[in-house]
Amino acid sequence: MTAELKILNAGALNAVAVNAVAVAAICVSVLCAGDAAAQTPANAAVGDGKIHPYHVQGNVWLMAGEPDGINVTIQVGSDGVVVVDTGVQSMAAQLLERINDTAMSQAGFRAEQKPVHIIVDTDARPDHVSGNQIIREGGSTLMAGNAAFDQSFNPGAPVWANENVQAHMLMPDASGKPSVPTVLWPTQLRYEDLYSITYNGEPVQLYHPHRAITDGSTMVMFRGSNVLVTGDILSMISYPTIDVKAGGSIDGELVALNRILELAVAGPYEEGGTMIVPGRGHLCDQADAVQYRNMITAIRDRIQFYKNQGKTLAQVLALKPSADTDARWGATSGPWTTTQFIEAVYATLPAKGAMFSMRTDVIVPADAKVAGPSREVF
Amino acid sequence: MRQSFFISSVLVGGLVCAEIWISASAQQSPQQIPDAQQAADAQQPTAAQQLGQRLGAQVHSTEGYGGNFVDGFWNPVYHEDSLERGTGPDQGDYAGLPITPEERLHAQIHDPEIMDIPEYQCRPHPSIYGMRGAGGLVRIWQDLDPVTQQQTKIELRLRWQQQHRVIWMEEHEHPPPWAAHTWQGYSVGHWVGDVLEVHTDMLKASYIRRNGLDTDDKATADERFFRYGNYMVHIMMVTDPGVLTEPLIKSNNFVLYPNATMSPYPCQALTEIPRAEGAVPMHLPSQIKAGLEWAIRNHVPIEASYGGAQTMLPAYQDYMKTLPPNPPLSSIEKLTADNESKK
Repeated sequence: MTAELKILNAGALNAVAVNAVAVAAICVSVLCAGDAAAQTPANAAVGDGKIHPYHVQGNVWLMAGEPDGINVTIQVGSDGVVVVDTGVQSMAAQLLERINDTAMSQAGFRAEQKPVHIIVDTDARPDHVSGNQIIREGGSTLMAGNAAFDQSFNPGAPVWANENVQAHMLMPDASGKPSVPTVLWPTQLRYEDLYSITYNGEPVQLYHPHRAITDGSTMVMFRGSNVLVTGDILSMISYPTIDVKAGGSIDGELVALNRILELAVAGPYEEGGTMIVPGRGHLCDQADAVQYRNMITAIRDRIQFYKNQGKTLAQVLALKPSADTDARWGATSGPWTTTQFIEAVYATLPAKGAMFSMRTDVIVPADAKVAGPSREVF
Repeated sequence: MRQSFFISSVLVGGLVCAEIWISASAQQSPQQIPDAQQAADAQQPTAAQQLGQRLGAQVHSTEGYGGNFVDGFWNPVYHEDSLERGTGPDQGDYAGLPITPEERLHAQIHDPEIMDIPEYQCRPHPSIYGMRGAGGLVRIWQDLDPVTQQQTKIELRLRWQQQHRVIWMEEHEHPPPWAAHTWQGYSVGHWVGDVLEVHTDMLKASYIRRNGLDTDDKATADERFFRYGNYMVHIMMVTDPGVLTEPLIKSNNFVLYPNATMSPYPCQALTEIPRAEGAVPMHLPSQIKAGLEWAIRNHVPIEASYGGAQTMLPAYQDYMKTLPPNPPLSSIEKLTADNESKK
């Protein structure tokens, strides 16, 4: 075999090899398309600037990677995509891309991309709604009738929120303009305490707790997937961010936390079962929510105890009623500090009150020795 | 025929000689093995070393090929800290623990009645406490790759609340930071000689003692498993910067329990004490002093009962002698009675 022929043969072989590798790569990529969206790199870290889709269970995915541990949740299926909270604006484009990738990967063999059809805002906070415009415009409204023929008209995906969310967004800033741009406003307002639909083959229920961290909070329960999205009512990184000016209160927050415990059903030996997506931080279950509820209740009761003694806010702060849990949940700087939390609790407790319970009017037998509330102030 | 008989005889004879030589060597070995001093002088292996070399394939392990010496049923031996591990520690007993002052406050606020809320009744022990607590029998087994026979996992099952734990022995992707935490956490292990070393994180908030000393979900643990004959020693080192000023190190002993059977442990939560929904049992600030009863009854200076790293040191006993006497128990009992009436 001459040298030229060897080279030609080598080149041919190389070409064949390259083509074979390319074909193999395409085959691998197609075969792995269903897993691409699900693969979280081993070195994925909080704050790496990337959105990481993470399968929670059923139809529900967590889009992790927003700053400050903010959680965006999506439900995917043949009807389309439901997005709960849209994160920050700077990551919205990447978020939309990851949402579409995830929806595509779960669409089956004859993939037809299903767009975002519903957006739910759990409250009016900037890091929950700042991506509304981009995600909304990247989605679509299911059109019918005459409007379906006008392809130029599509308002994008509807944005659902409690009516008080828009009320908060309407509040003027220093310049007199609405504090939140209109492009981020919800497009459909909910008034009900409970609103239910069936979407992607499962019941989806929106709960509105009264005066929790705000008066416009919403939790979303995906019943078939057994996933509860709580917004900032539950957080795995800080004490609850109770916004008193926006109608939040400590007892409303505790009612909402207890509601979470009612809605969530633990798996065997208090692990798993209903998965809970908190507003911030890692995924959790009922057992984690119980710990959080117990901690917040203890702090609240201690502050009420001090307030019953007539102590001022400054005196209560000096007593450090949350000292035993500040190392994990408190902060001395940043957007939400321990001091701000104590102030919010103190401000929303009565001057004289009892230990917390869901029922304020409990009849306790005279000879019963039970723990719990008393009509008498302690 | 003569030739074949001769060949057969030679072969048989050779085999017989070999067997005689081997048995002779074995018989000679116990008599001819030098004692430790002579062996050291002569640089010859001792009897123990020879035994170890013969058993090397069974007990010793090399990287990636873990031994099976932790396999089996293991019964806890409560020779250490039996009261704490069995019946449980009293509230107020924090001596000898490297806890922060805030953790002590947290424990003082703890009301044991919280243990009967429905959400706590079927909680298993976390992995940082399971081997220590009154969990009963432990079954340990290994999983091997069917092709390479390499150890992929070591699994543990503790009887109480059916705690099931997995220790990954092969390369395995760590869950991302946003994954849910579990009671047993995420454990990876490897062999260092005959010692199994394990690191665990992704734990739920749980506890290091059953009297209110809780950990948060940032806790991690490092463990060592040693085997001495039919005994296993387990060392647990818990790290939690928000709760502990330095790692909490505890040892637990187990004895091999051949032919054991493990009974199931079903659990169903019930409402044992009627309580208003949402009410959380706890001690209020005025009730904290009631927790001093343990220190007073056991003549332990109250300051010492508060714990802290310094209380772990033998020299602390000298310091204790300088502490003021405890108040009378009657003063604490009256406070306790007053507080109970307020509940």
